[in-house]
Amino acid sequence: MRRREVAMVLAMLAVGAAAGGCASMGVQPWERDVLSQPGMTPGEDIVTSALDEHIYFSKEASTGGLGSGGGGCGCN
Amino acid sequence: MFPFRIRPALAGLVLLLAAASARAGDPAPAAATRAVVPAADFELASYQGRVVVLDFWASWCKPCRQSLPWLSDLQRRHGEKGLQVVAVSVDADEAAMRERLGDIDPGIVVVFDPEGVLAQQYKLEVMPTSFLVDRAGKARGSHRGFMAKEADRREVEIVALLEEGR
Repeated sequence: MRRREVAMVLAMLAVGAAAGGCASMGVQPWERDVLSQPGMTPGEDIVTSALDEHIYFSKEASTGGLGSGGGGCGCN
Repeated sequence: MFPFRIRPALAGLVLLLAAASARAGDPAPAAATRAVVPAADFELASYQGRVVVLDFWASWCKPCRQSLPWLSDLQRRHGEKGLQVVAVSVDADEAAMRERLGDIDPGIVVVFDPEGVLAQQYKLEVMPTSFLVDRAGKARGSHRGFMAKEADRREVEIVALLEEGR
């Protein structure tokens, strides 16, 4: 019985320690230097975005792609 | 070493670089020589008797590109009445900070806080954020972000504080 209680306390401590790892997630406002660079913006380069969208549409069209349907033939 | 045809191009490049670099005797840009207070040495209490606008900004923060010239203008117009703008830069790179400072009013105190020590003390949540401190050293409000249409209203608040202690 006592051994079970000790195991339970240890398990609770382990869960607490693991959850504590999430306590400081997120970037502080003064740490957003790199994140604010143009290169960090999804779709910053129009040509790359258009090509990505075309590939995604061709490969994933059956699931809707990026808002458009198709046969997935890669011919669009 | 280099093929004959490449040599003139290389010589041209060298000449171009030499022309572009600063000549000896040129005055250094104001922002490069400007005194900057390290965050560890900054004490708000030393500005007691003046109305302080403590503004957190960074060279990479887009709204700050509008707010910094506005603060510079405020300092220029109200500095003699007792306004002290303190611009705390949270840039990690001092050169980037100095480049963005440009020709802001020399009356503005610039504080360099790359580790975010002051930002943490003031529990900064948004860039830019300004704190308003009266002549007695009491916090009288804060403003998050910067919108040009709110500038006049904010100036009225600052002027009201300037007139309080007169």
